[in-house]
Amino acid sequence: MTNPFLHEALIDEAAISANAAALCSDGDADLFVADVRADGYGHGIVESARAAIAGGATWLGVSCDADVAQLKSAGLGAPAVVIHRGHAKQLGAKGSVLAGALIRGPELYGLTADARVKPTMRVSGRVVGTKTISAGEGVSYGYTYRAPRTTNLALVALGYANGLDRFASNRGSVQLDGKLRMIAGRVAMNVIVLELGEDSTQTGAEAVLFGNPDSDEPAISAWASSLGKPAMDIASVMGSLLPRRYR
Amino acid sequence: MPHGEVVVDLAAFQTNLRLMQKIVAPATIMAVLKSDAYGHGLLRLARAAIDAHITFLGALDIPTALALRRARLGDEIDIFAWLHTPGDDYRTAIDSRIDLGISNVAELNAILAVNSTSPARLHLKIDTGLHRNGASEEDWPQLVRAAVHAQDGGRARIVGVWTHIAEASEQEDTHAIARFEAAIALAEGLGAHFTVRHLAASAASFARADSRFDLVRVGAFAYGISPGGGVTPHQLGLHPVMTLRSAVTEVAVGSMTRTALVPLGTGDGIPREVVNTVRVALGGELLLITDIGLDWFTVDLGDHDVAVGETVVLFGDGSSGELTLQAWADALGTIGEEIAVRLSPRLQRIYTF
Ligand SMILES: Cc1ncc(COP(=O)(O)O)c(C=O)c1O
Repeated sequence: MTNPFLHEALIDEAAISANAAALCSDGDADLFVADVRADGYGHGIVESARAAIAGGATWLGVSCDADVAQLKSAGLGAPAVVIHRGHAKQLGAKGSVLAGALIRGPELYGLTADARVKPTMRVSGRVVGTKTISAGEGVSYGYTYRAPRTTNLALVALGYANGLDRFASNRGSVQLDGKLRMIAGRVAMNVIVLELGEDSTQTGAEAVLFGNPDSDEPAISAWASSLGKPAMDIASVMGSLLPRRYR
Repeated sequence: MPHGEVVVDLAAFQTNLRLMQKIVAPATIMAVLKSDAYGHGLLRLARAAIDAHITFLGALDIPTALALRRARLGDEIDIFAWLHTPGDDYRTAIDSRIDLGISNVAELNAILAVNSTSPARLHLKIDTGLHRNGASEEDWPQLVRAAVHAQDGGRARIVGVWTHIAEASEQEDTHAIARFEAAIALAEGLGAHFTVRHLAASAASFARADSRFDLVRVGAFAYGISPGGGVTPHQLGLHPVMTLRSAVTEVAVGSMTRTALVPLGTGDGIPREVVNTVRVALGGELLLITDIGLDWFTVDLGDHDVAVGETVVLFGDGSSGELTLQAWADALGTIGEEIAVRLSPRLQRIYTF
């Protein structure tokens, strides 16, 4: 049970289509395989497939028969291939490798440094509480953060159950009211606390973990590098654990 | 088998709840079922808890609480939600007899503003040092007065008082307990009376009698997840509930190496850091994960002979020689909960008794 009022992964289907269109010229467009494994890298397998086809993809790259069944029942007729560590293999035990396939996965979702593609997922959570603490007071489990001086705090509804890594405790930062704010103390299952210093915020304000860098939101690549892992790991996990909204 | 299965041992879950119940008596247990019952599956675990005579369920938020209420688990079952946002359906929550954690006057007013047919059931929260939710000591009298006023007007019923503690150290927790007791005394002086006082989650309720009050909110230990740092579930008398397994889809024999391919990867929620860190049980051996992708990982077979289709157990209760979730967490520098709740909802859950 997920709660779309607390947090969301907002998926930009038009951006997936535009990314697909930008990648078409990399090879034979008749063999353009849109990799929609891992629920479309967390973007939704059906929606990603549809958006990629609209952008020019001709094949769908999947993990298993269950993926194919899901695509078929959504009415997607494009032929599917199993992506097999660098290859696209046709379905069935004797399926042959699709020679010359142009397989695009992370690029399709703007998860690589390729300048032609744009990020397609935006993750945010709501401020669900605010408070002020004095110098020396602790925050969250184990009090691993102690306020260096009097500071305002914002409680935000994103936690490791939403794929926000515990490793980001006292390390990662999140954008709130236009500024990057440090995560104070341990990331909990459902919430994080942001250190605001002298600034204040409102319950209901939206904190952005990553989104559209063209609108001055943090890039998923910045969040990924603060954790030392590839952006595709983050998108596929967060997109599968958060309520998704499409625009 | 599909590409991977999460096997949930409901009997182990119930055994853990019974053990915790015995330890914390005469206090009672709220089974914490937030985040899809820590990735195990909300409704199945709720039913198992009720079959183990648990009558209080912890939901986190109102949509989860309402999903539990709609599952017809019994009208006498109490359901607790404590993380609210302005979009929440307070009216349906109140009319569905959901107990609501309340942290401040603004939240209380928003709840009282809806046109419900019955009084809102309130659990007032005091912040005893964790600095997440809950009223500060300064704001506490005002919150209590507002709640008493609403109760006098018939719009609310004060049911409980609660807090959540940091488990930072014995001494810090002792301070938090003292602050909780002081807040209760102050509230009683202002005319509030509480039927349920609750402070402790798994670890504190297990370790400290003075943390238990009337009710303890147990999550991790019910799922057989110990706090980590070398303490195993077995040392605490707990049984791991979740097993993650898959099957070999390919065996590659090179001139120097034999490798098995397993169809689970980072896209299923397996942390990338398992590579060269974690071993899985396969063919009676514990074998190292050597590489991972979006939907696969490889295992170094050494000299071992393994057939396609053979079961691979990633973690479980150890009965097939596999590592426990606890051992994974220690190896990956995190806690078992994080690994369990990150597993993709698309992985099939299978229930055993
Ligand atoms: C308010 C509250 N109570 C209890 C729990 C259960 O904690 P644990 O899993 O340590 O038992 C949680 C979960 O973190 C919680 O948020």
